[in-house]
Amino acid sequence: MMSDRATASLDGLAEQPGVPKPDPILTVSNVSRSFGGLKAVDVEHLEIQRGMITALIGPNGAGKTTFFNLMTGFDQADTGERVFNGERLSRRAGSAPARRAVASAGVVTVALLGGLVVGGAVGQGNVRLGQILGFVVGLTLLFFGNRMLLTSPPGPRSNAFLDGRAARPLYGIAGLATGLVVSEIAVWATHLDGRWSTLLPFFGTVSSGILGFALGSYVQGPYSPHELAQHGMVRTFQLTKSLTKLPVIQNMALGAKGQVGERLSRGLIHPLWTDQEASIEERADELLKRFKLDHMRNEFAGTLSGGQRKLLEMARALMTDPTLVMLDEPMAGVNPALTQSLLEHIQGLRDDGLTVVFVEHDMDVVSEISDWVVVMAEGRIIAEGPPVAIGRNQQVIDAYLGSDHESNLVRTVDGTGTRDAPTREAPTGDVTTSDDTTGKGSDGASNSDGGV
Amino acid sequence: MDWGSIFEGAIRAAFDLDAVVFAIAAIGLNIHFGYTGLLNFGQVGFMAAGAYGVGIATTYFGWNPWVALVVGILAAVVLALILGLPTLRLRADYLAIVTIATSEILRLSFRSVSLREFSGGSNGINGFANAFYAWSPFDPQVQYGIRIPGIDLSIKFFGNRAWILLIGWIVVVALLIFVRLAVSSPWGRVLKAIREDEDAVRALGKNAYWFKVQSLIVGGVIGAIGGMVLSIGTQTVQPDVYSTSLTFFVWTALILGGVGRTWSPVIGAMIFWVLLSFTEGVLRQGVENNYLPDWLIDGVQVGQVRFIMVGLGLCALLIFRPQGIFGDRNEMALEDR
Repeated sequence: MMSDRATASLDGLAEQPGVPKPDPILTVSNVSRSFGGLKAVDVEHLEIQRGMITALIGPNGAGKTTFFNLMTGFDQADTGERVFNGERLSRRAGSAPARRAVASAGVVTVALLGGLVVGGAVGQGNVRLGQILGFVVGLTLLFFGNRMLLTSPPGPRSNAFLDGRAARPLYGIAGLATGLVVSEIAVWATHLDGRWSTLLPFFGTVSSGILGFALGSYVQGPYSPHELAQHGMVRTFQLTKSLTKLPVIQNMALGAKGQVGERLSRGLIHPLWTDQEASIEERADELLKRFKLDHMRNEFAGTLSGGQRKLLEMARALMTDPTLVMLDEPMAGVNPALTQSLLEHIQGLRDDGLTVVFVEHDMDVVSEISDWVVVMAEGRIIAEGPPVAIGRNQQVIDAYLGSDHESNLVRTVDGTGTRDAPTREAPTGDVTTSDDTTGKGSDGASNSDGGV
Repeated sequence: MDWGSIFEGAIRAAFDLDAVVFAIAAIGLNIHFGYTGLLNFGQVGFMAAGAYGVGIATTYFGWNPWVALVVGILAAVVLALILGLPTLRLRADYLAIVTIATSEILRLSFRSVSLREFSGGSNGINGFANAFYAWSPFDPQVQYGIRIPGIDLSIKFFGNRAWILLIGWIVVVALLIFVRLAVSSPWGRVLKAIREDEDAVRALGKNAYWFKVQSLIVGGVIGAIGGMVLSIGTQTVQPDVYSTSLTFFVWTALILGGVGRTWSPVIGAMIFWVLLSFTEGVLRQGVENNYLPDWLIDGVQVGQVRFIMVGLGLCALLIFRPQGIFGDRNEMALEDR
């Protein structure tokens, strides 16, 4: 069932964790996530090939879903970097808007504080007048400075001011300065006197500073899930999230990007978005037909069966025009007949040119449709390769079954049962030993040896 | 028993100032809870922000009444931002805790001695809405009412009250049109989706956080308008009016009507006040005419007992009609599987 087109490009790749791919759509490096003392995910390097179905498999508790959440932004990694379609995702900084914003904050700070000093001198005792003057000068500087910075080419990464690492302190100071000036003007305009003429600027300055600091953290921070979705990386959930009290068609329409009517000011004026809505619904109807949900179009999503909800969630994800579709255990809790149809839909996505990553723990399902398989155990990637090779891989078999899998079935089940307990507690210790030896391969095997 | 006056009192209560104020505040709360699923237990804080915004702007700063209205609305926006920006990233219950605390902080600050020059301490601010009544086309000394041919009802309001009621109900209708347009738009669709499952919305590329902030602002501003109508209608802003119990009465009105329906907060508010007025009328007349013995209930206790009665009625409603009067039971039965 493998597509020749997709696998051809991966022929001859070394079947080892972290192998570079010819055309990666998503690259993650040094991603780690700890919960207390437990290191749930510790992935050194992984590349996802464009236009293929990549399966992420592993036994229970391997960190698949945690890793999946880290890739899709639903959880924040302790360390690590993600590159999607050639764009760095782990830090907002470095992107054009972030540079612009940081630069603006820097300019406005300098301008405001400079304006205060200069204005104070020029205003000669009339401090308020001086401050207002300073504010006006600052805004003018900000305007021209911003235009200058916008037209200049991107600076080198090492420059903390330009790549955004200085965003937090800069925004904080800019907030303080703005708060001071604005509240001073407010005091002047409202003719406040007595202690309030001191207290108001104090609270104004402090709160505005905190706000600036928070804004700086945001600018410096990683992409949120919704921004990833806007970039073309969409995900589904293991526990289906159908919006039960919205009709199926509204569920679908929600997924469409760039909707004019999602701004309240435009949404109120219905003629502004009804045309767009009609074309969105047309596209939604096509997808519903493809997923055989068109007869449920106007029913509440809550009336759908579990399997239909899986289909709806997949169809809804496609409404966002993704390039990378991430499916978290799409086959969980679905009957065999529907599993077959889901698999066909997933292959259909690949044939339409999309890249699919899906989490699964059933090896049969995986080998049927995936072009490339990544195996996780105890938070790390222990193997990757084409499904046939993975099925033969001794480490993978050990990780799944424990190293005594060749003995009789009862003992195997026993082994799995006893292996589970140490797997949950082991990783901390395991990680330290593996860091020492830097051996990736033998870990899985030796570990399950110890467990059984 | 004089049933005529009991019914007159009840019908009067359906249109009086309290009903208008509750309707407006509940419309705002409906945006929060009914459409976005935000647990705002501090709607009274927004009402106080609007009322005090107008009061302080007109009396302390002596600004033009139109500017004062803008100040009241801005105060609600600022309050929504202060409440929402830190808490809306967290789970829904955090907002509930923070809003209930903030509304109390506001009330206690407004009645504090150190802020007396602004908010008038526990006396509040009085008689600041003369400009509003100067525009009134009605004569304050004359009673106005609507006569329905064939029915002998004497529900009349003095000129000033009639004026604020007229304006108040116009505001209610305008807000209903606004809510109708807003929630039937893609914007409203995102809000409803957030109510169902926030993570699904984020996975589809919508900034759920920002939509929740917007919802809090919009509903809060509507609450502030309710506070303004109340303060202008009574010509006074008093801190202890804006206590937490008011929040819960507004919640009651909203749940009575049915959550997440455009009209329901208004009908809920009217029914709430009709019930209160009706039970009070019946009890009072029962006591006065000695139908109810004094050892059971006396005239002073009527005011409290009516709340008990309405509470019992509400319990019955939630048992037999949990979706409220206008809710859809089938929709309510839809659960996540």
